[in-house]
Amino acid sequence: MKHLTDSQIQQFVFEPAASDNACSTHIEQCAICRSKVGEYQMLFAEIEKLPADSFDVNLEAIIMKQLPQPSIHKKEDKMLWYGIAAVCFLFVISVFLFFGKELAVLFGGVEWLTTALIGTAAICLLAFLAFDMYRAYRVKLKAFNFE
Amino acid sequence: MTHIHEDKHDDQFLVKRVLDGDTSAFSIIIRNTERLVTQIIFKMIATEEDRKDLAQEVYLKAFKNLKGFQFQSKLSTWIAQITYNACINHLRKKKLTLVDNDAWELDDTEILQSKEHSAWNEMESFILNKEMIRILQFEIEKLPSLYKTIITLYHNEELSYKEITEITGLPAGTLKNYLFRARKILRDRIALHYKKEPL
Ligand SMILES: [Zn+2]
Ligand SMILES: [Zn+2]
Repeated sequence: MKHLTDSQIQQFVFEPAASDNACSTHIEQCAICRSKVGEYQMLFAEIEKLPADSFDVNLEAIIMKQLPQPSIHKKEDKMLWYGIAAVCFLFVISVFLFFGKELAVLFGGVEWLTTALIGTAAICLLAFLAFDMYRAYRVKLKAFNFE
Repeated sequence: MTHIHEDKHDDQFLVKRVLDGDTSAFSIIIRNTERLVTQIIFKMIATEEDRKDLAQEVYLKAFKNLKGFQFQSKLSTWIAQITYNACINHLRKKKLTLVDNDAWELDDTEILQSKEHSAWNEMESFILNKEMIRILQFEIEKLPSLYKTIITLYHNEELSYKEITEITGLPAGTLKNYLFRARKILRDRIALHYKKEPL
């Protein structure tokens, strides 16, 4: 009886889908090839259980310390946005707190809610325009290499 | 398959965050890939100090080149590729070899002896022997660096042929050939051990 090659046996053990029927038939009938199959199965079952290697230091901490700091501009821009939002909010609140009655008179029949909406929208639009101008200014500064 | 899609999605999210200046997102990338990177470095490189240096080199390189990552593979595969290449360059610089070291090859007489399969008949008692775990680790350690890397990536990290070819740049046929040879060497060597150190 001609035995299976080592490759055929490995194929049968590790990639059964790619192994042909003749091989599995032979293995069923041949004790020698079957014992080789058993060896591979048991050996690699053990190998797959071996613990993974690991560093005795905190790699993440070491590497994070060496990375360049996040860009300052992005942080500044974010802060600016928060600033604008806060000013808008405070402004709208104080307008309604101090001039509530006068506004109601001024807008006559217009309802409170509508007034509030128009006010907020107008202020946000202004803030957005201001921010955009600031950005354009920054881009120009960069173009002239002033920063 | 949805899994792969999900991962790519996560990759894109993380890469975008890092590129947008949120460096802290890179620590998530490190955590997600650290195990794979460590396995490759430990199998490829023998010296402790060099391993640490390489791990840092790999991640600094990945950070620097992140803008160039095109999402053609998983991010982890890309970083593993950087790791593998860094190890190869390191070995080259030190004039160390990947495969063509003859010391590990068994000569034919040894293999012939190990072909007596009766030695393996009592495999169950073999498995119970804790000493064999140590021998197993020792025999894997003795394999050429490329072989043990491939064995680990396939059997312990459970990567596909495709992923391993992407990482190592080996043609699929060569990879398969190496993997089969590495497994056979291990099987023969363990059989020898069993004969030399009866239970
Ligand atoms: Zn047979
Ligand atoms: Zn997933």
